[in-house]
Amino acid sequence: MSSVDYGRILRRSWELTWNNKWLWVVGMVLAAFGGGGGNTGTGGGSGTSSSNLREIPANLPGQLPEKAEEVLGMATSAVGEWFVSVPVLTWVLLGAGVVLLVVLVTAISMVARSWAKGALVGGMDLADSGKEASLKTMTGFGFSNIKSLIIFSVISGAVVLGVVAGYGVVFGVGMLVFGWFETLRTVWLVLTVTVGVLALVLLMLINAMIGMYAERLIVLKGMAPWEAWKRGLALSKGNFLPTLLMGLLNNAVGCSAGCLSMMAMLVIFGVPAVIVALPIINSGFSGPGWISVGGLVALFILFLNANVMLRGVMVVFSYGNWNLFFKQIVDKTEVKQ
Amino acid sequence: MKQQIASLGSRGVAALVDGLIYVNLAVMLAARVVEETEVAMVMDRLMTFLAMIIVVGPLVLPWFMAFLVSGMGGGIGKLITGLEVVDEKGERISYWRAFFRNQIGRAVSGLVFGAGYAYMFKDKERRGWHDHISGTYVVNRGNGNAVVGVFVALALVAVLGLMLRGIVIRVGENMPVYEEVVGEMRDEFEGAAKKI
Repeated sequence: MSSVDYGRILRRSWELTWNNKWLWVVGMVLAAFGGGGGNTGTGGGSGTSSSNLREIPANLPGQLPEKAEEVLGMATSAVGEWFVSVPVLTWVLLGAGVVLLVVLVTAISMVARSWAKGALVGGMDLADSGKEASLKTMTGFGFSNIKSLIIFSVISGAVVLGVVAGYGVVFGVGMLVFGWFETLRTVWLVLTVTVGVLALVLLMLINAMIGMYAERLIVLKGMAPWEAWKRGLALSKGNFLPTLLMGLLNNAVGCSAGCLSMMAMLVIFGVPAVIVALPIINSGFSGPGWISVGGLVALFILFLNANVMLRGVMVVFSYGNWNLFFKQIVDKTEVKQ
Repeated sequence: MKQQIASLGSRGVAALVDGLIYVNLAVMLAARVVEETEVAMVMDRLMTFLAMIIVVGPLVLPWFMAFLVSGMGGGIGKLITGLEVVDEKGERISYWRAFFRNQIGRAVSGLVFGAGYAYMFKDKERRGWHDHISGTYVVNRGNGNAVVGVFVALALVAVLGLMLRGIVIRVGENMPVYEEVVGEMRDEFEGAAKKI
């Protein structure tokens, strides 16, 4: 465990990230298509005030008129009638079109992610060995590994789904068996849910580790997806703690850098946005001028682009850390063998 | 690469023609919406417009554009201006490479204020990021030229202008009807809210 020099990995990764700007382009693709991995935060949701809920009468449905036309008039019911008049087949076709579009967009995103992963892993390796990591040289890695990386992600997803489904079956059988006895059923429920949550966390962790090793085995060692999955599992098991520590370090650095830069961006873009928006708020939210609206839109677009670029750089840094770590682990394992 | 690399001007004209064709098609559908004043007909045409713009267009165009690039050398704009997308050997690219270039390559070039397109100004072979990652070059094919492209673009702008003018006039004429319907709906919803 102590043989991995984490400080050197972080320093070298940042050096490679800073000196090879072409890697940023691929990093931005991963950031835009959602393949960056880790360091992602989600915004808080909105809640409904419980006091507002209490104000709604409990017997609400009983108080509502039976037909919409009784409260809504001609214009509204004309729209309602139109909705009813549209043939079901039209809605079905429209729904099918939307589903197909979602499938197409998902497939394109998957290809883009796989291409970018292959290109970034290969490009980072080229940069580390002192060769030029240009779009041309990186794209070769990307194209030649698209299929394998897609197959690997399908295998990886199927394994996770299989394990979760298997656990669900065990849970269901247990409930059937112990269902007759109240106490045993409660014990089984508490036990399986507790173990299930812990196992799920562990499963996700192991799956991420396998992914990290396997993707590099596919791109850098030319392994087949299934072989890479098996070897990735062996490497994850054999180096669980060092890999976990690298992941924690990677996330900590990524989160800190991400938070700091996000704060800086909020100051850079947020303060002008407030200044632009103040007149709109002061005039009672009525009639914002075109200049104010344009200014806010421009600031928002600037923020989005700067955000993609920043996340792209962080993705490159993260991939760099993993590439260098992978090299150390694989070299160590190969020497042992 | 033995063939002559296309100038940025002709590539710009080709892109303009392509863009104007899409905008004209969208505006043509929008014009059909404002032709009507009856609620059911307006809704019918609005649904057609939205279905074409949001569903049918994005579903059909990527395949069609890849077919044009791989089978004929480029989109309509490039065909008119006499440009062709080729690989490093000067041959037309495969269907899937064209699909990759159009969908993923262009998305890459569009990142961060279209930096990948701006890169064409710096690149010796006038290749954008989408050309670099898909290993393509845009060359002059000989037949067709940028001047023809400019005329086509001007004609498309004229058609677009006429359609937009028609839309503005029609919306102006229909405005009392729209205001009446929207006003009625607002009153009805307010009335319903009060009853509840």
